[in-house]
Amino acid sequence: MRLNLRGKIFAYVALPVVLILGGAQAFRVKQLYDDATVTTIEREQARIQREARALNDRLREVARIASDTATFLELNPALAQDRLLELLRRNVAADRLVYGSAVAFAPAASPTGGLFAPYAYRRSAEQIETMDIARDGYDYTAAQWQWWQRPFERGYAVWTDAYLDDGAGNVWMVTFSAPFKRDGIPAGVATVDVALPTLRARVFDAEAARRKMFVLGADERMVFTHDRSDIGVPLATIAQRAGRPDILASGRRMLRDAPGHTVARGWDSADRQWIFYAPVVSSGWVLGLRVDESEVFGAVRRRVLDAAFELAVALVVIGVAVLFVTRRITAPLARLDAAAHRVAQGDLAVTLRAEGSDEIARLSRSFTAMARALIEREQALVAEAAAREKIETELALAKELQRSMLPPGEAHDAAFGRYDVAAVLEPARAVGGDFFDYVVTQDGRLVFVIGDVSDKGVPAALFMVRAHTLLRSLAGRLVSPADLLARMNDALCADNERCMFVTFACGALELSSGRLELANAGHEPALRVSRDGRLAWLEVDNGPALGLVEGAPYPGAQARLEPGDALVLYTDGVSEAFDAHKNAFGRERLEGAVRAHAQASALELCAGVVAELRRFVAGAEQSDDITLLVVRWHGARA
Amino acid sequence: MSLTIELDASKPPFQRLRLGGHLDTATAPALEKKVDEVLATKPLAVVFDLAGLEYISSAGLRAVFRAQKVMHAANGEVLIVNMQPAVQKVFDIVKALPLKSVFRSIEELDEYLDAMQRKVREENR
Repeated sequence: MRLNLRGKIFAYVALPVVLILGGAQAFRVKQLYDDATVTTIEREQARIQREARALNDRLREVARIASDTATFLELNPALAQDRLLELLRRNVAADRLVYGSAVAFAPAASPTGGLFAPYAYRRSAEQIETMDIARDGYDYTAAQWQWWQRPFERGYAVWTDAYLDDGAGNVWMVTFSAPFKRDGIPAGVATVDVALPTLRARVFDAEAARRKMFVLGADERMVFTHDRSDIGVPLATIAQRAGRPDILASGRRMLRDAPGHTVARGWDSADRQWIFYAPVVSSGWVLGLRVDESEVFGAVRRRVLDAAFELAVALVVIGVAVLFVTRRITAPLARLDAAAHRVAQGDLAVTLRAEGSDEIARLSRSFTAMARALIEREQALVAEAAAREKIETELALAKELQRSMLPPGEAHDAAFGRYDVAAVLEPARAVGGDFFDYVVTQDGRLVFVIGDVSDKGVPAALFMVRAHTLLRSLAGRLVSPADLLARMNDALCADNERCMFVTFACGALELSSGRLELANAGHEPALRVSRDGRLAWLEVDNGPALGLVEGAPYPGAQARLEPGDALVLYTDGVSEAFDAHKNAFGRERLEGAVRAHAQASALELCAGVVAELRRFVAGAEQSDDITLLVVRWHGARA
Repeated sequence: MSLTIELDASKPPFQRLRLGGHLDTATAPALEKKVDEVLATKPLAVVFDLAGLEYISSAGLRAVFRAQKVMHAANGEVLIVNMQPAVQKVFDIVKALPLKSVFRSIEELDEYLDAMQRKVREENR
């Protein structure tokens, strides 16, 4: 994954912190859930049991009325009928839960000798009516009437299941029925009726209604629910209506196992529901309470939201912090980057702001210092280049000046055609120590010289100027080449601390006769070439190079040229011109080149040798000044 | 090509400089500097042992001649031994070395130096 610095700090700092915080929050939420589950179960279980006990207590209070009546009737067998009615009337008035109260006699023990069942009931809130249940031929001993059948046959008091009483008030009710005996024989039952709507109103407060309380009878019929409409409806019907057989199974389990709780899909909602239930012992009912899970965990959900919010806030805080920190770090880095780009493009005038003493600030300062140093370097380079250019300009001027001291590279005897002269001078550097010269004296001699000052470059050039100037001053009064060399040597030995010297050769050719006088001061010998290609080295008794040995003798020598003969003089830049393999051009190659141009003019011979030399060195660096001087005598033609 | 200079001052009052490689415009200044150091000790003679010298240019010659000039002025001598043919040729052309200062071998040179030393001792006596 490619991350910039900011991304990396996020990944390595912010992400772990967020993960740790998130983990801690998740752990907290889990604990909250567990705690909430336990407390909810304990609280709701306690509540439902309390409610069930309260309901049970109320039912037992009501039941006691019937039980007391039964006891009273056993103790007072000969109670007058009007007194009996009064008793029943008082039974109804005794408790607001009581809807009606009856005494039903078995026909054998009846004061009337048949079915007889006096009954008092609430016609309205204030008005209590009395009647005989059997008056309209109503046979209460029929099997369908639990309130008669159960106690009479079982011999103990009992609550009936809920039933719709269509006789007295067309109202859903339950009846508590207590048997009594006469002379040891079952004689009838005393009852109290409780109308379920009334019971529901008295037992269920608004809170219970809101929380979906219900009472399930032992006959798997809803005794009542928070919802009025389901009074007396069998659980099987409700299960069928909802398409949920598990509701019936769940109800049966409640009747069997109360108290307890269970969790299931809601009866009337998609949400899961927790059902807490507890027994109402005396009536055999189960009091149940359905709670939506969202309600159980509503508080927890709020805590989860809180935790998420905290996490989000932490994230934002961390994010802003990281953003701030990375900006502090990356902004100078970005400036550095931009500065480096500018430097790379040649703009050195960069100054980086750097506060503090952290690594980046130090780097920024170093960078600025580097840019400064580069500017100084550049200025130094420019100055150096300017200085070099100045020197080069001066050297070029010096070269021009030096060349202008020497005669032209080619000359003829315009008047008589007795000779021609050609010369080439190529310094290894801008200026050099080689020189040549030639002049025709008034007494008809062609005097020619070639010189090579020790070393190269400017020192050699300066000494060459000295030697050449000396030569020019002496050549006009030339006696002989030997004399010239001796005079020049003595002059050059003076004030020559550095021991500069010139190898020097001088010839004087009498144009009318071809008589040649030569003198040599430590220089390479001259090469004579005839028209037919014969070569001869004119070895002369050498004196030392000029400038070294004061008073040294220069014997000189004489020779005679035939018409058409040429003399080739050169400096060691020719014989010691090296090719790339360090081979010297040497005298033999020189001889070959000269022989090849034996019949050419002086100029062509000179150019031919130089061309040969060029071919030989083949571009290798020239290490010494190259000078070649060719003199050809054509004879003493008039 | 470079120049190697080896100074042997083990036999005062003589100083020997053993040269090797190329003595040319580029390397001559180094030799001149060394020679100046040697001359400052005012030796009786300076010996150039050229056994290892392969090439000498006019700039190199100049350095040797300069040493010779200074030594002569101080009544000293510059002696040369073991010249190789190529170098010998250059010296020959320029012709500026006194014949008596060139020796073919170390033995000849040492003989000469011994004689020189004896002579000095006698003069001092």
